[in-house]
Amino acid sequence: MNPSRPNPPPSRPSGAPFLGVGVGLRPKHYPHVLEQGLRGGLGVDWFEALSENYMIPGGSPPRVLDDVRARFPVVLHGVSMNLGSTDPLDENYLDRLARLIDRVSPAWVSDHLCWTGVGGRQLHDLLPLPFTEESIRHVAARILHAQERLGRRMAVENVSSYMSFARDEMPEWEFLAAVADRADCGILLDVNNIYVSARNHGFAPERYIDAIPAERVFQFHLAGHSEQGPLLIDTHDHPVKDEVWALFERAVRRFGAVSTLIEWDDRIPPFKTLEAHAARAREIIERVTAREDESRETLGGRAAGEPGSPRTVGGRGTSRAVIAPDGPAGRALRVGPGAPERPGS
Amino acid sequence: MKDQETTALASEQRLLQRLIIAPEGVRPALAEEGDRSGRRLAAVIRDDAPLSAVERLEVYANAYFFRILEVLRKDYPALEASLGEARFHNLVTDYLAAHPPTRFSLRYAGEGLGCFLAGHAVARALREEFPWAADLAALEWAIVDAFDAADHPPLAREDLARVPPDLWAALRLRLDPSVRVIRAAWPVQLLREASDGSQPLPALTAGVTALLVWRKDERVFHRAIDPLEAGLLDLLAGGATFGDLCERMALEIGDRDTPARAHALLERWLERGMLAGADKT
Repeated sequence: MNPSRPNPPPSRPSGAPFLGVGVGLRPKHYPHVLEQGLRGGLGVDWFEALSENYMIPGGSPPRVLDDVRARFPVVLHGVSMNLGSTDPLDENYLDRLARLIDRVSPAWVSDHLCWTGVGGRQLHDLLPLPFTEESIRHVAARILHAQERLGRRMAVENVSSYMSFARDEMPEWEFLAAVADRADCGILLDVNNIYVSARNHGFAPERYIDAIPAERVFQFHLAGHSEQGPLLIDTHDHPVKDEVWALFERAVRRFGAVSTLIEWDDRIPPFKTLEAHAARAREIIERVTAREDESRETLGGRAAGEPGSPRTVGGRGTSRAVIAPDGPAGRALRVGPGAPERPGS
Repeated sequence: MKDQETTALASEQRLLQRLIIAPEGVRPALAEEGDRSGRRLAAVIRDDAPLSAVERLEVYANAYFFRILEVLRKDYPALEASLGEARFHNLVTDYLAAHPPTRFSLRYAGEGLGCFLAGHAVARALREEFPWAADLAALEWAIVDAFDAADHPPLAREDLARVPPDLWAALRLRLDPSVRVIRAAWPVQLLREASDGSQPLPALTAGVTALLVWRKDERVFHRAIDPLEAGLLDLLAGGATFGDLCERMALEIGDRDTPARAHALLERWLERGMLAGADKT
């Protein structure tokens, strides 16, 4: 770090806006979220909506999403883009997602670094790719196409896996970093998935965290997993485990204040349990980034964020390349209402 | 070079998918592929202690089946309650072998279950034992479908009141996109009603039944309707005019009763929010 530079690097190197700590929007909580959200009584900062659940003709889910979006930032998270498949990308899917994006103006859009079916079939599951140069070329080209079609940079998420390929040429973290670099996309880093895959395949999860390019991380996922024989399974039906919280703290140390989402998809608990998880995540982010801001001040700079307010953590003005979600660099940006500001703009 | 590489990835994905969706499980499917020992699979998926490649793939195979089973249980609660858990489980296994999901959303995974029950050879035994099962599946799928059908503001009574009397005969009433009319050979709505109310399921007696499904204020409703109303709704769906409806009514119930009956039906459809518009032709 150069102490003579007027603006220190931000706590959050990625150009994605820091939304705070959010939770997944699930039907079970619709009434509570609408009622309490209206009164400002929710202990969460933003919501992540599963894109496919709202890519429907009508009915209550799109209306609820509109109401939530009127009060909170929303990120669209998909499970069916099938980025890793050898089938052609589903243009009809991309068209429908584009329409949903127009309606919702999400802070960003994400899907998974995986395949979900081939030969026109859908497994409705997130299957891993072999970590090879061939896969990198294949999936990066498809992400570029999707980003072109959607007119914005997207984030891809690392998945939990229960099998690995004999012809892997590199560890998963190198694969993810190379895909993100080649596709010039963001990364949705699922800290629980790193932990689950580390246990299932016998690598140190810390190595994974340490190898991810910080400027590309848009978002974290935190979720619970369960044990099934010798495997950990990414079930999203339990509280976040202590080991995953510890890994999350390491991730915050490395990546700064990154928008964090608590995922819970099965045996969904009362909303207050999700709020308690959000509070714990927020406490970790505030504690870790406050410490970093202090150490930065001793080097002569002033951190831009106001301590204690996670929404304002992060700096403005930096000479580092930032990876913003609102459009591939160098192209005309499509910024809808509610779209995030580029830091430094 | 690139084509060749992508072909390798494609054939690998096809192999894994065949093994994952095989209804009898990964091991028998491997034997069918001529790889009883799993040696060829181990050249693709690492045989990492403590689990073999087959056991690792079985995790995905189980997840595939149970994820879809869970969705179908929610879509078809009365069908599951009336067939019993084990029969429903086996039905879903057979159904998925015949109709593997092809749509991007799990929401559509169960869309072919009614047709499968009504006509597929594999479902014949079930059909003989539970002759009403296909009708019940059709009702339950219509309920799923109506839930997220396209939105349309309902036609208001005042809009209709403003139509001059001489234009009524040529008026086309449009149905709300959520409206569905089902022809059943059994009163299967009784099973759904009992299942929704956690009541014991009644024994059914065969009887032709017309079932109406619609959504109002984001809630989905269903009820049995008389054959005349069902026929009129079919006419409306086909673009008939109000004059056509009155003609059909006059044929069925006579000129004298037609005006009062037409008025009562219009009132009922407006009340239920089943009408989306009235176009003067």
